Amino acid sequence: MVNSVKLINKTVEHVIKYISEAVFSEKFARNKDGFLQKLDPRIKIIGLIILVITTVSIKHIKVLLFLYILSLVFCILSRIPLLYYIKRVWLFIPLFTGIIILPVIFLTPGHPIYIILKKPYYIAITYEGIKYAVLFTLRVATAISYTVLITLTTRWDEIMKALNSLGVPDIVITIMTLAYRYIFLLLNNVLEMMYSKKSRLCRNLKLKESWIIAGKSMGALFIKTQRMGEDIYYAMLSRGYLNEPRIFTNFKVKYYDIIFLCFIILISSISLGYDRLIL
Amino acid sequence: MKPLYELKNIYYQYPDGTIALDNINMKIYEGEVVAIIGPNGAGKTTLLKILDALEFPKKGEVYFEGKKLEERLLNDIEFMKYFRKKVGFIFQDPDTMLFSPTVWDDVAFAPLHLYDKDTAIKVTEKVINEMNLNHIKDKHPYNISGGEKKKSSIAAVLSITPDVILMDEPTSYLDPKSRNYIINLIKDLKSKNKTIVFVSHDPNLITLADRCYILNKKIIAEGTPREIFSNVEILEENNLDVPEITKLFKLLLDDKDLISKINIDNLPITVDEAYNILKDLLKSKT
Repeated sequence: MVNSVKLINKTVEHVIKYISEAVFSEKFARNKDGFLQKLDPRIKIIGLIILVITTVSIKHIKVLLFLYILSLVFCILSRIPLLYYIKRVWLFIPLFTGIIILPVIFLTPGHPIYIILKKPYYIAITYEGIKYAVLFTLRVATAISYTVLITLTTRWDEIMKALNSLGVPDIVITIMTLAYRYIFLLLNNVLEMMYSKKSRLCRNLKLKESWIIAGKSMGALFIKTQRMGEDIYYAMLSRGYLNEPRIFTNFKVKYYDIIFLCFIILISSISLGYDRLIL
Repeated sequence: MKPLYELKNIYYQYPDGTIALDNINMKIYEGEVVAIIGPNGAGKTTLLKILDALEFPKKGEVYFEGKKLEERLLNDIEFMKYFRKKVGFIFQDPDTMLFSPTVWDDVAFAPLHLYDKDTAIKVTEKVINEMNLNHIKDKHPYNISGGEKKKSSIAAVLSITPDVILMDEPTSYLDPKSRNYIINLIKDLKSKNKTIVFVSHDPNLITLADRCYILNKKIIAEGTPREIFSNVEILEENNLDVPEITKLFKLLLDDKDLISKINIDNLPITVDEAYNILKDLLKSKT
């Protein structure tokens, strides 16, 4: 029991640290020499979303593999370490797809590869089941790969401004910006609370004790959040805010962006055509 | 001379019933530097919020340039824009003020709301250059140091070139370099005839003020920093302190062997004053 509490604490600590570092580092997004970094954020988002939609529409593994390799090419051209990128994409795949796909391997009817149980119920790993699992996993991985490329090669402010100029309302952008800005600040508060608790403890807490302290910490954090929210609103009012957010964008579409968009449309059309008409 | 701010019998109560301010009467004149000092929980920040028309007193009146500050007046867009351009408020916690995705956007926040777009961009760039924030202007506020955050939050207010600047604990949590930056900034703003009202516990910062108020829900004392620092009893009662240099001279004067050798009218409250006293003393010895 004590170990499980320790494990939860460690996990929370590492998750907070990892997210804070990963999300805020922006080191790849700031590399101006990268292929995707040079693009107008609006065009990049449109282009990569087209590729995501194409990916989820594909029914054959061969075409999906091509699209996945294309994402790796984009990654290399954007000067993102390949291993880092692959790890980042595949870290969450088992979490998202594993639960869905695991029963499919055993339940899809077809040619059995390995029979697990004959009686009272027939359970076997089938060729069709494996094929669907691979197709599904690859589809999710490729779609996530393109999404991760957006976040890795674009600064958060540019993503928000690009979404705004693509029609997402100002108020939604403001809420998302504020949430993004303060969620990590509050997560750091949680981390500091955990450290301060750790520094004053001389024994491992039992599960019940640990939950009681967690409840109190949540309460304290809630009060802190509410106060901070109030002060942020005052700070906005003090600088002329009138409940109408104003967002400044100065994006310009260049030839480079148009060529990229045409290339994406061409690749998507060829992939869909090959998938539907030839294979 | 007409006061810029006039507070008459201000009374403010928090929603939980705690009294924050009681019977506050105060006048602030144009071009003045006013320090508000007092123990924690004395209502100093609440007073600044009232001066910035973010909170309104439950009883009493606040006048700004002769106009009574009340919610109805602030709802008038023309006046609100005039007032917000005229008065800037630097909050204690810079994280409160830096809510945009980049430092540039935060500095541009007020100009974009108070000026047209072209002017807003121009004034933002100007402040970014003047305050040497170019290296962090595209960074997310989460990714900059405490000193840089403070500097950015100041830039976010100075971008509208307000005539009145309200500062809540401007030197708290800062390293010596950043602290000196704030001290020099206040001196610079003072030389430009800006009206500054700041809340602080920092004795060195308080010496920059023309006038001081000791506040502990009520106004306990008012005077120049020298008058305030000479009133040790009141300072002690309100958990306040005098500058280290003043303490040193107090110790010297309390020493019976030295008292005859040091002949001064007033205890120094700044290093410069102490330097002049010591220089004269050493010169007279030689």
